[in-house]
Amino acid sequence: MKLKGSQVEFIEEDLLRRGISFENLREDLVDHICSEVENRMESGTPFMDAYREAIRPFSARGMSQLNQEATTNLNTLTMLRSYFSLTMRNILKHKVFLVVNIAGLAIGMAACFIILQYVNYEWSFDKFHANSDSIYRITQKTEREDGSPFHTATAYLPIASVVKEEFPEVVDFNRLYFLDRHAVVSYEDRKFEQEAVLYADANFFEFFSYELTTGTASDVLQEVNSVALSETAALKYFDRSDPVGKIVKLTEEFNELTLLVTGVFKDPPPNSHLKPHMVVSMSSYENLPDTKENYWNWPFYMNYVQLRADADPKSLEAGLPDIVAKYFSEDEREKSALFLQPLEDIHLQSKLNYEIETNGDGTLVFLLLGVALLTLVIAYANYINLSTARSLERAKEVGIRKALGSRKSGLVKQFLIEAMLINSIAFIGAAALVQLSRYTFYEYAGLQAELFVFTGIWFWCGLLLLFLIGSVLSSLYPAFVLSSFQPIAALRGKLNYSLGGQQLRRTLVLFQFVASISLMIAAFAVYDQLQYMREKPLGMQIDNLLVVKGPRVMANEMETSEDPFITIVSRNRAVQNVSVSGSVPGIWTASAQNIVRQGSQVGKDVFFSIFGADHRFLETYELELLAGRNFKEGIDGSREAVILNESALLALGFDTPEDAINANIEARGLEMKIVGVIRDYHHFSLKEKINPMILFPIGNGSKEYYTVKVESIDGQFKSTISEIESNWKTIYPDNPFEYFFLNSAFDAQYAADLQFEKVFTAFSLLAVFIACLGLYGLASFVTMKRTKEIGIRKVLGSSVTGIVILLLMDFAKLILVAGLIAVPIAYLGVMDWQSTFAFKADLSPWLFVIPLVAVLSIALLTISIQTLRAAIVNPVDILKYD
Amino acid sequence: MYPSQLLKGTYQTIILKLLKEYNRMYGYEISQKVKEESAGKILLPEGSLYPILHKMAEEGLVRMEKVSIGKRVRRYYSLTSSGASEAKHKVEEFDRFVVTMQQLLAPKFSSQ
Repeated sequence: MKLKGSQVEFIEEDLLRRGISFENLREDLVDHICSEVENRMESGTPFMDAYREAIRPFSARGMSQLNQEATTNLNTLTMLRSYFSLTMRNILKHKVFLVVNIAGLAIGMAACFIILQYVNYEWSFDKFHANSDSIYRITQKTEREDGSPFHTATAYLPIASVVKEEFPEVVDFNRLYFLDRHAVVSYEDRKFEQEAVLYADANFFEFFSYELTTGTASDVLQEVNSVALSETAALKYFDRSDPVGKIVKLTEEFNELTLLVTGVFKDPPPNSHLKPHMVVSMSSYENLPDTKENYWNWPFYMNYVQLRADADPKSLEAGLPDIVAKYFSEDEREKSALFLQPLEDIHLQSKLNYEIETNGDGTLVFLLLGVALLTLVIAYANYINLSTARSLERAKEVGIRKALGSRKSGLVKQFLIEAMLINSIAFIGAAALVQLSRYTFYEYAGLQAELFVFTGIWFWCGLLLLFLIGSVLSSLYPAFVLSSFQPIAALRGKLNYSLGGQQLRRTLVLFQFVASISLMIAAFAVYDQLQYMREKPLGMQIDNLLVVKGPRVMANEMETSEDPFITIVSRNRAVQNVSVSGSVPGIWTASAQNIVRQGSQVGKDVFFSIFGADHRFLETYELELLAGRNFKEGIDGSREAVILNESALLALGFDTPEDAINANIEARGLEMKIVGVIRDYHHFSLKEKINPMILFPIGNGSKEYYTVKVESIDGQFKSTISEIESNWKTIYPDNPFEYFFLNSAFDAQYAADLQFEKVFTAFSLLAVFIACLGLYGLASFVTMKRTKEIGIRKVLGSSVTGIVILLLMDFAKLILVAGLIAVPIAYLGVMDWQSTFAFKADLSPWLFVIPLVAVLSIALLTISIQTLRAAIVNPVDILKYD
Repeated sequence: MYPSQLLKGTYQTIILKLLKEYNRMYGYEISQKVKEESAGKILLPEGSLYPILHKMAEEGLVRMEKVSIGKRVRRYYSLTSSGASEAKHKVEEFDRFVVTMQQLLAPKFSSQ
């Protein structure tokens, strides 16, 4: 008589419950008992009786005793294999649990890794320098005339050298002058535009760790007029031929130098605040007569010092006032100060004037880190939730095993191994997800792809540590809750919904939804603010405007009354208007103070933005003239005429635009007449206030930008641009043709905010998704637990709808409470974030209601799928077994 | 039926001997065979059989192979070469033991 498959399964399950966890033994016993049962059933004994008889000889001494005897002599490997196979059995039996757990953890981990890599990149800045931890930058603070502080990343040229002289703990120094505008480099008859040009002291390549491929670090910048090039720059100028020994000509804003190439260095790594492509010996610069004369007048130089390893930077900084007292001119001593800044902090902490590049935002990096960790915690909360929920189901098994003498440590081990296994699978899944999605994600978020610097052993150790802590923490709770069950209570089935877990699970779900709803609201608010900034009328028009950067090198003074470039470009049929100005919207303007209404002190303390513009400027940008007139055509004649905006009008104390017309203002003895007043417009992004602004008629020296208004005929842009370029070559043959579109340049001011928005949105959606995944698992479990209750309710006349609502209410209440907690948290966070913007979008209640309703509906939908299934089942199917 | 105190040390010898004789056996078969050949006088307790088999597998005296029969797995045990010599050794040892026991317990016919 052969046993049926289900009977064999029954026997195996029962043995497992009785504590035969060692797989080899279990296989033996199943076969043994099956054979015995088969024997007995031959003679007509029913299955259950035969089974009871068959296991009697084993249970006499206790099954778990047997299990222990069979395993005491085993080596560790066999032991682990046994635990492993048992775990596989356990988790494969609950596929929903398995999939939900692993998917949630994998997604959470993957999100966390991606962000950790980004954070790691941002934190890695300038650490590649061998002495990065002992190098400091000296920054200088002065006062503007109105008493406001002006702190620059730069200082006077001799500062580092005198600091080294005065302080023994300073072992070395290096000074740089970084050209903030592009320079033109010519080799033979070809001209190239070159960015990232700097002058540096001779020890540059010893002081910093940029790697020379040709030339020795101590020699390359030793001589006057020597230059080292990056590999990219060298390739650009000389193609494949040997750069060393070649002569190039450098034309920058003020000087023209003939330089000998002495070395080539590897392109600077992206995680550096200083990314030079052309390094000229400082001696060539110090040779210039202007430089010497202005040693203590021009504060435009980066001063770096290296301290002895054991030196205290604080004590050095405390000595810096002595330098000021000793070397600064008398009227500067009072208001000047010098500071030290660690090299490694520059990228994320320094936001001074005259930085080399726009630095990163340390707070934002921390914020992202927080979001990433939150996502991970939400994922782990899922795990704990589902494990404790499932633990109730296993309470009976555990009760029996404990009653039969299983030791607590064995049980804890079992759960830890289960957690490790699930975590490992999730970890591998996460690695695969990162691999698959990282480039998509970085492209989406506009982050640099090269930030995958997988270097640094601590990064990997950190990940490993995170993984270990995560799996241990997430398994400890379920493990101890389960193994501490009182066998009697567990066997009586008294654990359900009372002990261990119910309260914790509610708290965890609550936490998950507080976190994900807050993130969602924040993402909504960020989107809303950016949308507001992009949609609010700017008071000008910025479309179809092509901006050409003005000439650096003028062949000769072109003092004609009409600008030749404008004349020639205007002939183009597609060109509607051309204007020349000292600034265009979105671009830095000079600012000046001490401008007053004639005969008074009104406006003295105000900073005015000032730049030159021609008579076509207002028309090109469609700025509205409120009173008075535009500039007259031609450069000469009305130099003393100025046009104000409304804010300037207010600052100078005029009541109406009409009052101001023909009134005079004074600036340092110069007298100017107000000829026109324009309506305020947003020269800068809406992050900033509208400055008081003064326009003056442009002179030849300040032709920074040509704005060309072109007809918006699709597809013709290209040919129009190439025509304008050929015009440019005719008028300014010595200057490279550089242009940009004004609207995209203006929007570029929001680039960092857009990036933030995208990352934030992605992560809040992820958080909601993971939380719902957990909710799905939990709902399926709870529903399963309550199938009997559902069956009875249906028999007693409940409708399907009634039952679904009953089951939903439990979760709905929880999520609503989460919403109530999340709203004030999110509100405070959003207010704080918005405070950095000058123009804020109103926080409409919808910002809070929509995310809440969205999360609630997604969550309820998730649960409904489960509950509906349970509610539809015919009660007979459920109840017939009892 | 002999009391188990008397048999305890002999279980391993019995199992080794049976495996040597029948080459390849599974656990239930071993226990049945012992019952059969001893005419029910010796019962190999199930609680001892399997721990002994697993211990011998760990020690390399027996090897195990799995055969799937329907829904369950049958684990066959057979002697390794060291198991075979161990079987020989154990049986010889037991033979000597029996002889000694007989000498010890036999009624003494005085040679006087």
